[in-house]
Amino acid sequence: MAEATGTADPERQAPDGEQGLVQRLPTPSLSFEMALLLPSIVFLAVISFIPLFALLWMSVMEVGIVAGRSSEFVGLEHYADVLTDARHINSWWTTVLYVGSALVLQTVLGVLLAVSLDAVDRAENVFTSVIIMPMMVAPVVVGLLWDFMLSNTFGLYAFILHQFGLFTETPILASDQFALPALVIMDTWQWTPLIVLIVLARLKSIPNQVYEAAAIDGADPWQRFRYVTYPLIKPAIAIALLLRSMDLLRFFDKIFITTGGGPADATKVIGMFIYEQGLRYQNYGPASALGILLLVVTIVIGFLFVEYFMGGAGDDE
Amino acid sequence: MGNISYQDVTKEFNDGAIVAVDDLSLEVEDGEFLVLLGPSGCGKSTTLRMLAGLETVTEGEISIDGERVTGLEPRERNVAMVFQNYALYPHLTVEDNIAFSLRMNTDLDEDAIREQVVETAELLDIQDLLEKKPGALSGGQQQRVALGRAIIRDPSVFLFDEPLSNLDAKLRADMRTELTRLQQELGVTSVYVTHDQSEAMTMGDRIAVMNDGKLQQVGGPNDVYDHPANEFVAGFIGEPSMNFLDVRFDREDGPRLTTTGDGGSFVYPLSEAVADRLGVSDGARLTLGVRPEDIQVDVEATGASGRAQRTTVDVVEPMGSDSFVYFDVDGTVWTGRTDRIDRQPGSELVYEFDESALYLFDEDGETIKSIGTGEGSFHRETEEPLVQE
Repeated sequence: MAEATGTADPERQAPDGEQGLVQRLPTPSLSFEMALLLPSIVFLAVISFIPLFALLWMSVMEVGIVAGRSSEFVGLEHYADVLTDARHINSWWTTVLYVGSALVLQTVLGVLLAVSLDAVDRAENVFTSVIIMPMMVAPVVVGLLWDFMLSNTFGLYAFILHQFGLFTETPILASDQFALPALVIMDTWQWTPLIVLIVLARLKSIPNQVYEAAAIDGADPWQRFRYVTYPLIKPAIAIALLLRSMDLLRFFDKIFITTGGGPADATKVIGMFIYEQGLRYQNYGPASALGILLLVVTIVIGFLFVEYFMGGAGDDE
Repeated sequence: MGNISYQDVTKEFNDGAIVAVDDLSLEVEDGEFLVLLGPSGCGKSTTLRMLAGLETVTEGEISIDGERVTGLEPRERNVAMVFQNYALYPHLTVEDNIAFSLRMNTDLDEDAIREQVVETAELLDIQDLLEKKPGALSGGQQQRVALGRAIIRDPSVFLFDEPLSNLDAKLRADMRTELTRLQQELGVTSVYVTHDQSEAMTMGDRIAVMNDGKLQQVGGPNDVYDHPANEFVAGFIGEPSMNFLDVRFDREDGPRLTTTGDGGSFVYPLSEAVADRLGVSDGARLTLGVRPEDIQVDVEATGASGRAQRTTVDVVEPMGSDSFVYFDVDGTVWTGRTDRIDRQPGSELVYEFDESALYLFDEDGETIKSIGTGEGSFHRETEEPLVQE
């Protein structure tokens, strides 16, 4: 260890006495650092690696949970099922629709709100506080709240919709066409503020003179946004997209509270599907395989966002 | 093609709670280099920003080239501005920074833009930096890029907002020379804001001194130095700054300026010829001013003028070529700029200064007498006011 860490050249040139000193120093300090790190590594292994390996193991087994039945190795059978079965494919498709539309809606709204907030010079803190409030509410509570507001009997939103003759027969959350859009709006209401916060923080760090220089250089307000503001907030948008996409992919709580995946699988995203397979029907094998696939998809999407948005703009400051 | 006119311009902030610029009128001729000089918060930057269109005008009119620009957007005014902190676009390369305004304002194709960028970069000696981003450049290089961004537009007016303040002293002096050269070469009307009077003196064709939102005086560098319009300008221009003393004009035993009535010991006899032309009455309260370089310091009184005063040395600062001597005059510390001397603090000293070097200001701070004893030195005689209203 000591030989490996010391750089070769100074050691060869150093006289014997010094060489001993140079070699001895790193050894105790390294093991000391290791000793400090060890508890957290062990802890991390227990809480995250063991479940991960258990998940990998279960995804290739037919898991027997009833006493007397043993688990059976099935190879990649679950993965093949998950990728070919019609209900699974439908669930993936629902997830793509849900994540895509929510991400676009939240990002566009979030950036718009952040830019507007940055331009306000009076009572900006009040506006910001009001805007970020939905984020403070627990997702389950948001689900309950919206379930109530959209209820055909008592709900305020349902009442407003009824005035326009909409959803008088079937409640919106029971409509196989509109239940998913309703969930997208629900999540947008809650999580757009996060994007506002992240983008606003970045906007605040751009010196005003840069905008003034652009104004004098002949850029109109749209060009100032397109060529100055947007490139400078791109790294912040990447971070917001990364956080939101990770969260949206494993979306579960609001669906669980409001629609339970229905009507007729219309809102059964992957997160809901995993819950149903694993915890309701005890099909641990397919549920684990789905979980692993979802993890892989999440990592790939995250990587793409970081590459695309931060590749050009983030590295020069 | 680029004359500028401010007419009775006032700028208020916070609904009139702060008056940043107060009824300012000023003309800048085509091709002129005008320096707006004043201490922090005097309204000089606001004056410039109103011209750029970055601040609205509360009252009055601003025109460029005879065209009223008061309500126009910055981009409609054909001005270019260089900021103190450079304000380069951090995400763009030097080339794109310089080309930005051409891309926004013109239909030139990329080849033509590239050609102009290279030409501008060569003028500023930054052609090797075109591919770099601002973050990788030194302060001096960044300021050159900012200059390039301004020059390439071929504007009718250049605006400079303390462009050299963030540079170190050596670089500042170099850039000063280069900016002057560039401005003369391009012949574009320029307005330059600074709080550094040596920048103002060396660069400006004319200097406009501002204080407290008001224009104090406009004139050539030497005019402003020799014939300041008031006590503020006299004290602000010159390094080290002018020495002042509150005195009384006394005619009883021959005309003289004295502090004896107030318990002081300062007595400065005036010649009848000068006293008659001051136009002040017996017993008037005045402020006396004298520049450090006009003071002679010696061990013993030499001249027969009878104006030598005795004092004690406070501090001597050797400056290499000469020395600054600080000494006490009736409780205020004066500075004298003399040949090299070596004197211990507390030792005796004799100082005197000629009548021609004497400045006098009335109780409102207006100049009564400036340097010299000829015409133009006695301001109550001349009709033409030095302060432009």
